[in-house]
Amino acid sequence: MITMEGGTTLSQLLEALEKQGKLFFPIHPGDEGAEVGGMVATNAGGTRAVKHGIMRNHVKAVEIVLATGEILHLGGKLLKNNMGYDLMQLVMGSEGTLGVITEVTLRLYGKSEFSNTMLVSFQSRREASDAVPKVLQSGITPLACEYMDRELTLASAKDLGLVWPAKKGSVDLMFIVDGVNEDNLYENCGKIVDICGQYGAVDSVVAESAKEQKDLLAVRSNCYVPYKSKVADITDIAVPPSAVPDFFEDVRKIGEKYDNPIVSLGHIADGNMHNFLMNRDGKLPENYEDMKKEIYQTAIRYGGTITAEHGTGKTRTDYMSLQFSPKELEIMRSIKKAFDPNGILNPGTIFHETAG
Amino acid sequence: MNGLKIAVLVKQVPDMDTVKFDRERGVVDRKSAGTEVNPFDLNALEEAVKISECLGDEVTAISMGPPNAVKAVRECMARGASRGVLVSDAKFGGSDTRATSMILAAAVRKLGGFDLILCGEKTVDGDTGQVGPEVAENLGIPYACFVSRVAAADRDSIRVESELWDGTYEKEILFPALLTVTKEISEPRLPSFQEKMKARKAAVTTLTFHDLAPFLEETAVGFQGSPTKVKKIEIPPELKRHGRIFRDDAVPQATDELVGILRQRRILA
Repeated sequence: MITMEGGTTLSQLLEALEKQGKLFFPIHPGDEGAEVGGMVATNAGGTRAVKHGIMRNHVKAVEIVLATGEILHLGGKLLKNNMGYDLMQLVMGSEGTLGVITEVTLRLYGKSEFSNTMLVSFQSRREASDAVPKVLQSGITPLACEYMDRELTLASAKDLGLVWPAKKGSVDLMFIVDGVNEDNLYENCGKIVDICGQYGAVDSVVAESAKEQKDLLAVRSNCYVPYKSKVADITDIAVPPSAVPDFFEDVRKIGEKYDNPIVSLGHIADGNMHNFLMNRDGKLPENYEDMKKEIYQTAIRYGGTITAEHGTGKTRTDYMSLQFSPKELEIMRSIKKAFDPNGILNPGTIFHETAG
Repeated sequence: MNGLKIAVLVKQVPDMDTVKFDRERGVVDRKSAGTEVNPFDLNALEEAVKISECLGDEVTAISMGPPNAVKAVRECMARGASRGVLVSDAKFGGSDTRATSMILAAAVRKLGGFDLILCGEKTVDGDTGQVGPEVAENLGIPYACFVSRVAAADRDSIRVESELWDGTYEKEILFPALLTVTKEISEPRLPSFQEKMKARKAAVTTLTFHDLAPFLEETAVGFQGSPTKVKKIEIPPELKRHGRIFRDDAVPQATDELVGILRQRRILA
């Protein structure tokens, strides 16, 4: 385990681990400027969540300063701890509304030396999304499994001056796979490719060198950039992983209904899809609010959530009542009040009202 | 159909993004990073495969290196080389560019010669750019360096372009010939998973000093065949950023200082 100040950046953490050489921290939300305290406050996810979960799975202790100036030390360097309520769990994802995180203890893991990145291409979203649950059920847990509409990756690669290596098909799954040794790695990859083949995969390519793997991930991470000016909103819905194929189909129908050429990518094995709702003639479409609400309601019908990793923030406060019952909201408000009686911490976030 | 016989010379290099230097001994700490095929050689391989797809014949990947360089050879086979050859012998250890090019030229002779040999313009670990042209000199065949485009190729000759200084040089070369290529020449493809799996088990021919003996003097290889003696390697000290913070009233002073520094470094006129 490692204990650091809340303001430590992810890049500082990674540098320290690289010097040490043997240990590894799995959460990487994309930007290494992220501060560890912030990663706890937002319960950060990232691409490796399929295998390693999210921030919540790796935080062992936090120190927070309350609005009253009192300091709490929550959790500890423990693997088991069942005494009382687990207040630390409330702090994770609280977006600065419960206290200021000043110290964090994280669990570390042994480094896996062998990994590669595969792109498996399909002709349709349905085939790709049907294959994913089958891969997970086969007992192989990749580090990452990303879904990408080809339109997005082509534009992103062009924007970075790279060439997207998948040519056949129209959508891609990107698997980052690891193994205890090279044979084990390729055995896992072989199983994934076989299963995808049964669901109609048309091609698969594999990147092994660090640079080629980094390039693929860079294209994935950059997908939003070429669309910045064209996008009205990007949803952060998650549904149970097994419901993704049907949810995907519903989103397509909603796009047709509202005449919006929605494109999609996302952490498909986590059930977390980012749908790009497009502007019309450079402006927010008139039916945007209705369309968004319908997508949210659809997700909730599948037992999903409005935000999987981006957080409630200020922009989703209006939709709290869509997802939670009045009793649940009441308990949440009481928690806020217990931590921050005067409502001075990050007001307007998660709940509209500033005071409890 | 008898097409062109093409060879690609490749080297296994450390991953330069992660490799560390042993500052005390002044050498690259090869254990600190994984290995990969020299990126420029992948450009050469891609171009070779493209030419072979048009002019229909096999591409042989040849690498000189320790036994584990077989991995680099197999990676080339996954990316379209039809045959792999590893030139490996303890006697070859310590070879400089001259000895290496003698060994590679001997391997080319041993394999019966090629119409066209391609390699990267240089390796990312040695950075000399000497081995390609030296192999051609040893074989007594014409060569073109820093080729960024193949304009045309047929069974007898190839027309290539090199960007040198401010001009583009177009050269037409009769086979047999050797080209060193820049990264502009091609975008290396990723291997398909099926090809990768096939290549992982593919047979690779190994050539030792004994195999090359008819074409090679023992005194020409390894340390004794290498006139280059590295006396000392100096690793430049790591540059560290020195941040300075100017607040409120000090902003005009900060602007002046910044402009001063940029002028001093001739970034601003």
